[in-house]
Amino acid sequence: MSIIVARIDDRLVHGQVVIGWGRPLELNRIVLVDAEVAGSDFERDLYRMAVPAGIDVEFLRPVEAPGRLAALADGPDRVLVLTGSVAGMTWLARASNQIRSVNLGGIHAGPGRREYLRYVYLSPEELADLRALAATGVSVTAQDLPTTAPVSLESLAP
Amino acid sequence: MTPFLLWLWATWAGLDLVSVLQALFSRPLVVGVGTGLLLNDPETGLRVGAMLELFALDVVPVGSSRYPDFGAATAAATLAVAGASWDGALGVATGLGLALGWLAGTTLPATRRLNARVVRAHADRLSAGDPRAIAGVQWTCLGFDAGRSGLVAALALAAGWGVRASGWAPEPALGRSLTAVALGGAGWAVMHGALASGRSGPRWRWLSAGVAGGVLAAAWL
Amino acid sequence: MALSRLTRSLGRLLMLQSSWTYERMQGVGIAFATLPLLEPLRDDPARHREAVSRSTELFNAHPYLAGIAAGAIARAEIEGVAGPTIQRLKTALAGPLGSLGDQLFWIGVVPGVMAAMLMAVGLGAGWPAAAVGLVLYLAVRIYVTAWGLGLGYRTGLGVAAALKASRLDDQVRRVGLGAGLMVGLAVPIVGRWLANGATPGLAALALGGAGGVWAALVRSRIPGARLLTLVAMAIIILWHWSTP
Repeated sequence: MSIIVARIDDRLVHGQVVIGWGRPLELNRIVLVDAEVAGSDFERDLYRMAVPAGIDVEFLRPVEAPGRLAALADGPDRVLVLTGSVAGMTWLARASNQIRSVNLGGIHAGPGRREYLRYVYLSPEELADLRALAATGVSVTAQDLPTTAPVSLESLAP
Repeated sequence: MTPFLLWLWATWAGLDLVSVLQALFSRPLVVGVGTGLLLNDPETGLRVGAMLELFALDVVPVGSSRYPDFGAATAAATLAVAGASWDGALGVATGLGLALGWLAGTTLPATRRLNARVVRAHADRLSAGDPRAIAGVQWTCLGFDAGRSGLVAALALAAGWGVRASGWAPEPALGRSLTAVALGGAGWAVMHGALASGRSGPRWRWLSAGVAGGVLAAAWL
Repeated sequence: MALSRLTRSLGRLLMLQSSWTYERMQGVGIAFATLPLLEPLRDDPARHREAVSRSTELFNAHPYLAGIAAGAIARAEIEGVAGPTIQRLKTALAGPLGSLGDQLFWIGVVPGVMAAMLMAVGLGAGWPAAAVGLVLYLAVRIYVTAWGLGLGYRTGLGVAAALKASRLDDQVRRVGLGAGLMVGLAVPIVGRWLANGATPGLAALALGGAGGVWAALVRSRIPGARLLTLVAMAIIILWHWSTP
């Protein structure tokens, strides 16, 4: 199993991901699944710049992701899978069947969302979506950095 | 005059940490040196600052993670032991600085929650693109952090003054043990900090080369 | 005129994080810094309002490099780029500017400079070493922010290409390795000075250093050095007091 973390973070690739998680977990591949980023040159250029030497980054459209994750799961790389939205990750977990645990890393305030943790704001639909995913056996926890304690989905309260 | 200048210096260190400049004014070494100069004992400021700086090198303020505020803590630790014979006092100052730095750090999330209240109260005017609301929020929040820094500086310096005025000094054996523990902790902190931020092969090699060179230089001199 | 607007924006960037919140992070701060740059839009109040409103939303980057985003966003707004594109530019800039800045400054230049200052102090340079380091660093800090603001304001949507051409990401590796070397050099030198040559202190430093390496290598969670030190001190004091 080489998919080390599957993270939902609306800031996509940033310091917390690269330094906070990448280094202590010795990740060497980040797979960013986002249709818009995959289709935009300037965004790909920028995100690629955020990733230090020693970590490869690839940008996938959702349709390409399940097949690629299946290949990576048997490979030698230590992989972080990243999506910017709850819907993106729950879809990916179901479609690929390669994701055993989901990390809520940064979902910020937005219309219809309530605060659960200082870095996790969810709409009722998103919460239900995550609960349904957890019911299928995927472990869902919130944790912004490896050095902070993980918070389970069940114990999230507004 | 000196107490007021000390308070001002420690307050400025608190502001530098997050709100204004974010240069090196909040680093223990810089705060210690300034405090030492104000107290006419630059040597103590330098030693306390250097010791706490080794601990601060284990702190990376990434994203919204929590971190200690060593500014006023270093000023207080220096004040507590300035003029004392340093080899027993350095351990005491380090313990005081670490404890106060942790306590001071807990005021940061509280200030951010205060900020959030102001931002929420002005949310409509912010989304309406009202420049005056933006400036109002920014200056109000800066005021909060100035208040936080000023308060933390006053309380920390009072604690440092309390230790100093109590006249307590560890017996030489205890003082030396505490200083040794402080050095052990500092060594732990700085090596952990250097590696937690990157353990790639080259990073290892450059760090190891540095340590080897440093040991040689220290043995030579 | 543009120079005066850029200068005011620079001043505001130096207090970017005053209004930091978990909800918008640097959002209000970056809006405050962008305001002077959006002044040319004031002739068209509706457009100005819309641009200012967009600028207040969630944003987070390294504080020294956030000016790149402020400048680029202002340029894009002035050139009339579509709103959603500007929002995507802002999100896309935040990640890299945060990640590059953290690596370059928080775990690169800052530890490197502090280690150099500690080494100088350990070699007997005294407090002037700290003063010189502080002034030099301050100059770098302000220069970097001004450079970034100018780069963003000149290039707008082309900022990705300009950043790539600036080779900022190449510096990251070099600076990180240099910082590692400096920290390594500084520890024994400043440690010897702090221990004043006393053997127990030096032994504790070496032992602690080995502990720190071990803690960084094992992946399980080990309490941080600050907590360990305080606990060890408390135990020693209690033990000392309880033995007659």
